[in-house]
Amino acid sequence: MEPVVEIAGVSKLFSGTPVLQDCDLRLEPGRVHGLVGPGGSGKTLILKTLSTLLRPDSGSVILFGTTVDYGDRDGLRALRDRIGVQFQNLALFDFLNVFDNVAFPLVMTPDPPPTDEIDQRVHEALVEVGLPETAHLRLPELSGGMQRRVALARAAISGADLMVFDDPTGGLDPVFSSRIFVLIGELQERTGSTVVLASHDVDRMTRICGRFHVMDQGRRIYSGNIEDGRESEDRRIRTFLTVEA
Amino acid sequence: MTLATGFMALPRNLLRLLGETVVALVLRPPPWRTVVTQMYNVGFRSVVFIAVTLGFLGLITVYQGCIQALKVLPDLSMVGAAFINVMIMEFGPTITALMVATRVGSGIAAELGTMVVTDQVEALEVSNTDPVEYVVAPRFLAVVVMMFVLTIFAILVATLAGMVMADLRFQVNPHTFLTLAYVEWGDVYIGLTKVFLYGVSIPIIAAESGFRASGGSEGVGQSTTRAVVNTLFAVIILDFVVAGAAFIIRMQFE
Amino acid sequence: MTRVLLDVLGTFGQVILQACRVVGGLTVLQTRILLAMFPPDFDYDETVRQFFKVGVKSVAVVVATALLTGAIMVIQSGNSVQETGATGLVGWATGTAVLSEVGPILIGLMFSGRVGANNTAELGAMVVTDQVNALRVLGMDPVRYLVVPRFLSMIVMLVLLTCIGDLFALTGGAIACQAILGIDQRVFWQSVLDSHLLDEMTMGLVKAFVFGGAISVVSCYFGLNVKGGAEGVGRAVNDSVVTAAISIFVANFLVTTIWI
Repeated sequence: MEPVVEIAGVSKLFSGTPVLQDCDLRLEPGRVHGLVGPGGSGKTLILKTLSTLLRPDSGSVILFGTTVDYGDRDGLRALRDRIGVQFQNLALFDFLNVFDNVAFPLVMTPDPPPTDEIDQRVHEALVEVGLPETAHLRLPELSGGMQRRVALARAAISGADLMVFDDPTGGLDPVFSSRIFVLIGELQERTGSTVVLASHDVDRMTRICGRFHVMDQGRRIYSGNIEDGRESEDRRIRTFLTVEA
Repeated sequence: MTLATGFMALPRNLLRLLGETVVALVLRPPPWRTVVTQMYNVGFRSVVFIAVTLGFLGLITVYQGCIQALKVLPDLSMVGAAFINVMIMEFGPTITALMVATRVGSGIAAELGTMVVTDQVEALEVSNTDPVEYVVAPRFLAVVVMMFVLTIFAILVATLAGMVMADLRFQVNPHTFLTLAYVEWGDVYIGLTKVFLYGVSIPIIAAESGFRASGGSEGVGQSTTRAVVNTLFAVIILDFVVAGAAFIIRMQFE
Repeated sequence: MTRVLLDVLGTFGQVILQACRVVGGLTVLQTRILLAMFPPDFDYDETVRQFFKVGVKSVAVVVATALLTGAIMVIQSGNSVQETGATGLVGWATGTAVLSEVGPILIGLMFSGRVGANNTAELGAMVVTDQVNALRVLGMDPVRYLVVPRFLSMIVMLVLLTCIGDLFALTGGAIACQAILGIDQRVFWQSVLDSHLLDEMTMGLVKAFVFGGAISVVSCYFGLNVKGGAEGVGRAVNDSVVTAAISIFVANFLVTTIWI
């Protein structure tokens, strides 16, 4: 099957320091991909690259069979309409309340759905992440964990073809972490979308991720299933795929 | 070399941002409610501040003006006329702009800087929302409009304060003080030109500085302080340019 | 309509309460600074470092501001000179305005934007990352270690910078006089010298002394009282430059009225 994301030979320098070096990544459609690796290995950057937000210095990015052209505004628009992202920093808008934050991707599409449909979908999404009754609150009134769940709801609301979750359970307690992973798994099954998620919680990731990708020092060093990875010759791959959160 | 290229990059970035903002305003005007909310914020945040600073400026200008005028002139009958003239074409627009730059400029930079370092700007982009159109354009329009309102308010406050000072300390009758005898239309146009240029440059310079923020709370602090200095300095440069150009144009006509 | 009215009244009350709290906090900080200085007991090395930092950071912006200020004032007085033909008064009018009022105020505002705002951001970041608490745990008084060095360096540096600024403002005036008004710059300099402006200049330097003290106390106060993360720092910088601007205009009024 044709991959949803095909990144080839991507490199990026930040003020002279290479942060991505000749990195490639292939994501087949319709499954949950797990991205693991130590802090600073480039997980967030590769996620931003495949969300079209980071323009690499060299290499090519192909999304849904189209090569990303950063100069073509309409082309970028069309691609971004098919992508939903939960950012590591959450990136919730502090000038909007919870409802408007979650509704944002729906409202900002070229032809938004009718108001009562937006209402209904936002409330469903909030109930799913365990935050009913919070729609009218402003962000500073929520705890860090609750804000993380709002960001999750916003990333999932439009049912995008490609959903990106950067550390969706950071700072959450173990019980809720499990629930978030289950939610992401269910979301993928229901929508058939391609999901990629970066996390350190390998143990819980194994329950939903069909395929793992290991990053180290700006390179992808392994793609495959967890069992093969854990028996790999490379000690780094074995370590990253067996660490407990 | 890097200093020179950095020095040239700033005006280019500012002009590009100004262009993008104007294009966004013309092609996809923001909802008027958003603009009104922003205008309310700009006015509300700075009205007390401007009243206090311009009030004291009015007091001290009349005080110094009267004392200095008595050294060369027999009486103070024209102090009010000269004061109102200099308020309309110089101090009113410029000092108000310095205050708006301090209050609103740093606010815009802090707001945008926070949005950049917490990835909110990228979140806008991935939802296909142009941050210039969605965040900068309404603030730009609000500042341009409110600069006129606030300058008129500032001139009124300063004149009132100056009138009280002239009356109580120098026994200049308010009737004598309040006169537009020295104000020509040309002076008013100079004042209005300044107000417009200040209103255009403050939000753009502040926003550009906010967009360049990087790295945590320290980055937001840096971009805010950079915005304060750059907007203040831009106001002083524009003041010089407009005043000089106006003087030369007038000499051509006379 | 009632909502707006209530908003206005509520904000008015809040502004007054906030002003009282700030003035109180500034007074306490000022007292603690003086207590730390007499007898002198503060960090000497940090003071020297601050002198360099403050001076280097602001000298360029002060020189540029002063040049333009002198030129602007010459252009302003040029209008009446054109009408009366009294070219000899340009130097007097510009000199008086720049040395005693406009120069100190504009240089003070720029200094506040450059050094004061930066100081608030720096101290604010230290508070947010608990560095100030770490100092306290080590038994070091933040006022003696952080605030007094900044207080001294800002006062001394703003006075010195205003001296330099005065010179550049007159130079800017002379250039504008020749280039824009078309009056020989020797006439300008002669007029400045004939006007006996030493008294005005001294008053301007006294103002710089007062402004420097006010800017340092205000910027340290807001920096040390930052609440919350990145947003809090931005807000503190904003409050700091606004309060510094208010104190500059009020102090300017007081010094002038007491002086003459």
